[in-house]
Amino acid sequence: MADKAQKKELKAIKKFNAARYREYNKTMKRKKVPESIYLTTMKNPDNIIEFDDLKTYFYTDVGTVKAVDGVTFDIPKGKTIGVVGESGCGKSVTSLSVMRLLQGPQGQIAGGQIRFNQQSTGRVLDLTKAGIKEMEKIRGNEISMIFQEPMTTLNPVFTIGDQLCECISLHNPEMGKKAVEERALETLKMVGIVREGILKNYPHELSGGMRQRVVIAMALSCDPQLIIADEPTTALDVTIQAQILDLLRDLKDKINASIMLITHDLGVVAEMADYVVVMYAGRIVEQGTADDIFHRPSHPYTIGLMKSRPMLNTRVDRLYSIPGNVPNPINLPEHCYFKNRCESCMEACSGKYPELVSLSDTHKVSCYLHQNKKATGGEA
Amino acid sequence: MEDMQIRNQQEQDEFEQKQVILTPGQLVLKRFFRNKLACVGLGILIAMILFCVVGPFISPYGEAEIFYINTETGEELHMDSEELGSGNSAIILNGKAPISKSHWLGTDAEGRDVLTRLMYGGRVSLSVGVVVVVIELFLGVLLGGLAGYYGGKVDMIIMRLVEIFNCIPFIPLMLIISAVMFASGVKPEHKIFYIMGVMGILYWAGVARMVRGQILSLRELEYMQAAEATGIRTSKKILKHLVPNVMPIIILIATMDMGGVILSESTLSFLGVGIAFPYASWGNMVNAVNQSVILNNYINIWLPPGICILLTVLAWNFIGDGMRDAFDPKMKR
Amino acid sequence: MAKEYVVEVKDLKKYFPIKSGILQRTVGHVRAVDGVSINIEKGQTFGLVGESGCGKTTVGRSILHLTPPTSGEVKISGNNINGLKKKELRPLRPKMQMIFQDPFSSLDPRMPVGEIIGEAVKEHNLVPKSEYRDYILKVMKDCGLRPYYIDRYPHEFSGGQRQRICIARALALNPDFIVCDEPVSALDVSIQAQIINLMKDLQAERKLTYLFISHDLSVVEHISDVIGVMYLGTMMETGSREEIFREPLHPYTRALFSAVPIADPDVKMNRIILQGDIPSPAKPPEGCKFHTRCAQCMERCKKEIPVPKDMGNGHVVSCHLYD
Repeated sequence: MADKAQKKELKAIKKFNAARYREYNKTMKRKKVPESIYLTTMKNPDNIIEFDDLKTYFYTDVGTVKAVDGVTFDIPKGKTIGVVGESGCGKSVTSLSVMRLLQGPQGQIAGGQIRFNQQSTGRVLDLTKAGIKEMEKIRGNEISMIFQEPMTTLNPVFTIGDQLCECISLHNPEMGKKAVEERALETLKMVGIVREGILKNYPHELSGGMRQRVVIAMALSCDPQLIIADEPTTALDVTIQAQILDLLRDLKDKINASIMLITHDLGVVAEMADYVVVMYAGRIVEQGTADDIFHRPSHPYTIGLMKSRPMLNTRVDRLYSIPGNVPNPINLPEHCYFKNRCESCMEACSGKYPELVSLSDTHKVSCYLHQNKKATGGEA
Repeated sequence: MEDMQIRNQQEQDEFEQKQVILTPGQLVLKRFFRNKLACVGLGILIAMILFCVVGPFISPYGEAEIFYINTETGEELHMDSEELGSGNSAIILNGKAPISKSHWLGTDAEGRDVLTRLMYGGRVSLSVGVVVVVIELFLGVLLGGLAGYYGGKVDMIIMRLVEIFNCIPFIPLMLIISAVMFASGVKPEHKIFYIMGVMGILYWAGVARMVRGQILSLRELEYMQAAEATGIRTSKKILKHLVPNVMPIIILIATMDMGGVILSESTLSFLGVGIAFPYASWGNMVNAVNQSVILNNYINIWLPPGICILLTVLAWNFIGDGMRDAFDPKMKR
Repeated sequence: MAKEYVVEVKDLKKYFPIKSGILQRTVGHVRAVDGVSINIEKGQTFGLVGESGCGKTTVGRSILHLTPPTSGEVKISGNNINGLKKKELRPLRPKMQMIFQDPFSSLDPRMPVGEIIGEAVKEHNLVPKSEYRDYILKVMKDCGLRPYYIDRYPHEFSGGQRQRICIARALALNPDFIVCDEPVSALDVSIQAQIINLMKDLQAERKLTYLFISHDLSVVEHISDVIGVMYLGTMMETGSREEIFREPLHPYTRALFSAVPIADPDVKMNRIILQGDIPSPAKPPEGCKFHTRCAQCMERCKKEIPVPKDMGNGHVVSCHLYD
């Protein structure tokens, strides 16, 4: 009996998915996308990117995975935003949504807007709807990405020079060969590589730290407005990580790009970020300035994360630990996703998913512990 | 607060216990049966096996039974019929008979029932596939396993052997063997066994290479190291960890090779090197197209065995593809 | 007072040959571990830190003879295990166990959890058959695994739970000594804390001795009693946790400590940034191996190899600065 019901369910999922796939393929096939579809206006012209209720779903055979489910936050010009969360919380998917690099047709943006303030043309684009042509112009040129594994980002059969120059001349077709090369050397100098003949080196001839520097140089080479750094130091050793973080912090002041830093390491975020977004199971549980998050963490999950990390030079006999595991991303419950792991769980938590509540101008949290503050209208 | 936690834990437990648990084997089967093409392949194959195994019992004729016809009366005669000896010139061989009620696919040039021969020929083709694959797997898994597990000199010797075997040209060798068998007077009914043996021995090299690679990569995995660290005996380590984990690749090779072996056997029979008169095989049935009259006018003689070969090989390939996707969903695309 | 050491390692060396050419002639050696000595008291944790490629994993494996060391003496629970054949080692295996880094590849995907944990128990006949199932369930309970997991397969579990299964597998053999090779670095932060707590609880309960290998300084600091810092196959500094963190002596240790990012935006560290990269262990620098990146490098460091020196309280450092 149960088997039959299951089969029926699977069939329904398949049918549902097929419809989504068809729709996706249809939109992908559009040759020309009229501007009217993707032009919008920013809420705040000082922001470089605004995520508005972004929903990115993966339609799998066993059900829909809501990898990102209604995420709303802004990246102001010239600031660094840290997105923190554990694996599977949707932080990488958020960044892939910006670049529109999701594996279609399974993964697609199901709703919401990503408004991008394009400086070069003065337009505001909704990246969720922009055509492929438009996206290709933006990728690498105005938004560039630094990945976790430098070895997989660089093509092993081309020299550093080839890859860097290609990147520059692709986005600046008017530049001559000499000028491109000069520009390449300049950017390499910016990331602290002043070695002779570096342009003739192959990626495998460089160490991990050097490779990551080259990747950063590639990301910087076209003066992007936004750099997305997805776990840029996770694959590196501590001492090399320190070098790279130092470099990134240094660059942050030199260039006027915004940085979206995605990481699981609270320490890295604390060093780099002006604003912090904490994600859990595809939703934002807390966001605020670095000061808000690190000094006044309000969501039990954020508090737990902070406490569960052993700190140098501080002695505790027993680490605080969040019990349980990250919930299965398929068929998430109606109530707060953190409920089953939460220490301060209340009756109210079995109800609807809590809304984001403002604790101050910058600090927002989604938890019933703070819900009453909204009711009384009090500002924290 | 605390009972809330306990309640949460209970909820979690209940949720987890309700989940249907599947063994890795069941998971593979589930994924296999979700693949439509693989199911079609399996269906064709089962139909083919039934046709070849059960068919001959239903068919009223024998494999090498020849039919004659009395041109005056239009009466069909079996080859053991008394009238044959009567010297009646009206009685001739009922070759190339058209499709009729008594011969659903007509008769071939020698006056034998095509449908019946198709069934017997299928038996040969399918069993050649199975036997050859069993031989090549036995040799390949054994030698590849030894090479992969022990490494060093053993590996070196076995791999050089594999390379030598890979250099042997298949068809010329079979032609020579066939000539030798003919010269030394091997009975036609035994010829098939020799062919199976030779094919199995020639084909093991590819299997050995695959199995060795798999074992080499398995050996580096941490659970093998863990087995070593917990002090598990070598024999147990091989039997309980290594064998179950190379099983997928063995099954994969088996299904994938099955089609190829059937094709090779057909090729050999077609060339007249394989199964010989009076025994049927799909390959030597297709061989009838050698006569241009048959090629042009008697499609019913050569097309059915051709379709049988096509369907069987296709079915095995579908099954193989389905298996591969079922074992490792990531390999898709 | 004579200390009771569960593990005594003296001058452990492990060289991997570099082969090249058609004849596979050995043209040199990668000195993964180049003379490391470790003593661990019963019930204590020795934390081994270092960057990737410094040979810390090889130390762990060589001690257990999973990769036989090139030379050196290893004594575990009083048994000298040098030069023993695989067969002779087997009965000693239960006393020394290992927990691996990657919880995904360290469990056989085709075995149910109960069997993974119990396989070696059966092999060594540690408990009578009638008590076997109860024993496995008890071990599972100790490791925080639900009893109904016993018939499930590894693919249904998350990283943290898999690591618990690995711990249960090691624990079921009732070991004295466990080598923990980066047991938490593949896990999420919130799960890391669970596993670390579990390991500490088990240690207190069963008087276990750990060799805890990790690149994560804060984790090592939390769990260890004695810490050793490795660089390119040699031990740079060893000492009790308090000593080493209060006063790191070796320039490398200092740089390593200052490189750890701290989860507080207000703390601005005076960071010592090491220049350059780790040299290849196939061609380690002459003299002190660290001199290529050391800010306090002297002429002497480039030629002479520093000798380990006891600075009191068991704080040993290998550096010419303290001669």
